[in-house]
Amino acid sequence: MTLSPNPPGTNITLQLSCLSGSGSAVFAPDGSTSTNITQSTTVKIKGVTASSVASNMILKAMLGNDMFASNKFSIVNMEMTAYRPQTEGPGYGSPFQKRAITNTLEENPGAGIRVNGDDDNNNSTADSSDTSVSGENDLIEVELKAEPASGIKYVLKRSSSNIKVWNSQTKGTALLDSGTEAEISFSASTKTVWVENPSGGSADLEFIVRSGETDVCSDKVHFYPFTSIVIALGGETQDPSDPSDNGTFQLATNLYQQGYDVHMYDEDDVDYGGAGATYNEVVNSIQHRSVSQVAIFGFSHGGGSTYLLADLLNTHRDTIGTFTIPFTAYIDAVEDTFMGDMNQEHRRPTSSAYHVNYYQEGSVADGWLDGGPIDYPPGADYEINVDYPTPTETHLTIDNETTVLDGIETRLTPRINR
Amino acid sequence: MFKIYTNIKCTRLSSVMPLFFLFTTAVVVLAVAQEVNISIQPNKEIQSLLKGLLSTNEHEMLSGTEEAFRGKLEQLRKLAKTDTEIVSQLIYFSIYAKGMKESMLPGVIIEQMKIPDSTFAEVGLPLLDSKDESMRKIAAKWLTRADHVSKGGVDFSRYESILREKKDNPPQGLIRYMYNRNPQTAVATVARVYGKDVPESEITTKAKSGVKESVEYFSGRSEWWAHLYVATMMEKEPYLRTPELIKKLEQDTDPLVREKVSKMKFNLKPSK
Repeated sequence: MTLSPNPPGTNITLQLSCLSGSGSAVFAPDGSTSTNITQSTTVKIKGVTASSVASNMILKAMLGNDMFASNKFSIVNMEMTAYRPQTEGPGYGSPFQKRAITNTLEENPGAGIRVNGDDDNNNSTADSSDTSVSGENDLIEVELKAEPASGIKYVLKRSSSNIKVWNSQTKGTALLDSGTEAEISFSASTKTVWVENPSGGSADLEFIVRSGETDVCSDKVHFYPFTSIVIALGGETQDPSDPSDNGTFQLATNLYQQGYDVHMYDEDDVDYGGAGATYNEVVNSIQHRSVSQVAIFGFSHGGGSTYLLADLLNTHRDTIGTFTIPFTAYIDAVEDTFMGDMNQEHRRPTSSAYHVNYYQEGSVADGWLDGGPIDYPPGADYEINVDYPTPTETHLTIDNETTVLDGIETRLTPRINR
Repeated sequence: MFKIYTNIKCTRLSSVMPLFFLFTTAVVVLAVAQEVNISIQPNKEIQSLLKGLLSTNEHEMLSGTEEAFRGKLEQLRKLAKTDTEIVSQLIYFSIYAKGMKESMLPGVIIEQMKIPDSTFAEVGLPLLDSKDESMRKIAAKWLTRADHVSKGGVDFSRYESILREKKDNPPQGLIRYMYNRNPQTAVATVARVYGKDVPESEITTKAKSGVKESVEYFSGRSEWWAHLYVATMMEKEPYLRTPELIKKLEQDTDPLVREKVSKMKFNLKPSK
């Protein structure tokens, strides 16, 4: 609406109101629903609550009691929220709970997504080539919020074919498979879609409100394929959980929220030869999910298992595929090569490019349980005896020590690509 | 006290074989020969003493001074009388251990009392044939103390002697354990005992070769012990599993091979 009061000085009243259903708007910045103009002016209108139906709001121009111009409009409330991946799922809570990616992180670094080349339904076909995958856990959940649900054109647009959008966690119907965009219909104010990365590469997904040919507003999430896997191994009887009382898993959860593909395990998931569920997950990620970097850290026997896992990965390197281990860390690591092994873990994880080692000196208080310096070549890259010169920690407290957890995190993040 | 109830029930494979073949695809964990009712009976006084060693302070493991702790260990030795009984009670304690302190306590005691690793063979070996799967699993874990080599690898010479003694009636629990523990050493050891005209050096060399090469070699042999190696490697390295190999192993009538193949087939089914 363009108004030019003539002669200048003529008082025109602008009013905002809702014609039907619900919705409210005010003039910015004063927050009122009515304002006066006496000359050609640009006014700003701020939506307060979304329209329950399209075009139910009206801006009226009044000369006295007479309306001489009006314009209908809608107040749109739209948002796109992506979540961190399911791990080890399907479903959240095993162990990571469902966590939304905050607006400050959704474009940079964005949402991490696994390349879907594995075979979650064990049908000998890569999941990326299946149209329905029972047990699928590699698609990223995205929630679209759209108010009003109808009468407005909503569009999903991808920047490249590196991602696909499905209507179900198990794939099902493709909403955005060919082309760069697709109109999305809503039967309610929210809709959940699932993003897949079939074969790598990054892409942006944009949720757009479109009027005619004009994109009125949009929300964007950047999707990047995980190229690393981070393994966190707790100590004896420390079961992975989120939230957790155990520092190893708190650190893991922190990294998960920063967009790493983190997997938490009980140290028993690494057997005395290094094999087991943890090893299988790493191998699977290298062979089928384009992962090329492995980071491992662990506490107590989880530190001993860190060594065993790295060693087995290195032993079978030729068969597994191409990968590096740019980072490993021990927290008071105890060897785990046989049941009840109480020996300090002195061995540097095989083929680790950078190893961090925190340990304390045991005493009767902790049954003489402790880690020790790395003396098997070539030593650690960063090593701290937290009990030197003053004994401050026991084996039961060191894994919750903030400086230890921060020390590992600050050294892992520059060395591991997401 | 350590009791073996061999007179209660002893399931022999030969009596269940016909049913076994009918239900191999449905049953995941299969009964195999020589399983016996065997368990560790807790000594309440010792179990109580073990609990009493732990501190109630969440930041500490042991209560009291080092002198007090060593006094309690002396008390433990008097109550148990033998290393075998100490180990049995520690294994029992470990089964029900909750939290890191309880889980680590047996290891601390073993270290401090300098209990010889051979004791774990004495206690653990009979438990490998327990009907109770959880007992078999915990026994297998503790038995690792008896065969580990400090510089890496395992020493199965003790087990080889047992296999020779029981050559006509292969101890299934022990063989299962050996393959799970270290398939490369296991296949070489078992081949020496059960192999006929087998070139020992070739077996040892092939077992130590790359995983794919070793699996290819042993799958080409006809003996059950070779197939058990292949099944174990497929279990440990899932990417080696192929329908062709599984089909081939299915032809083997050895109960341990069939046990592993059955587990793998179950795991290959779509999960939902």
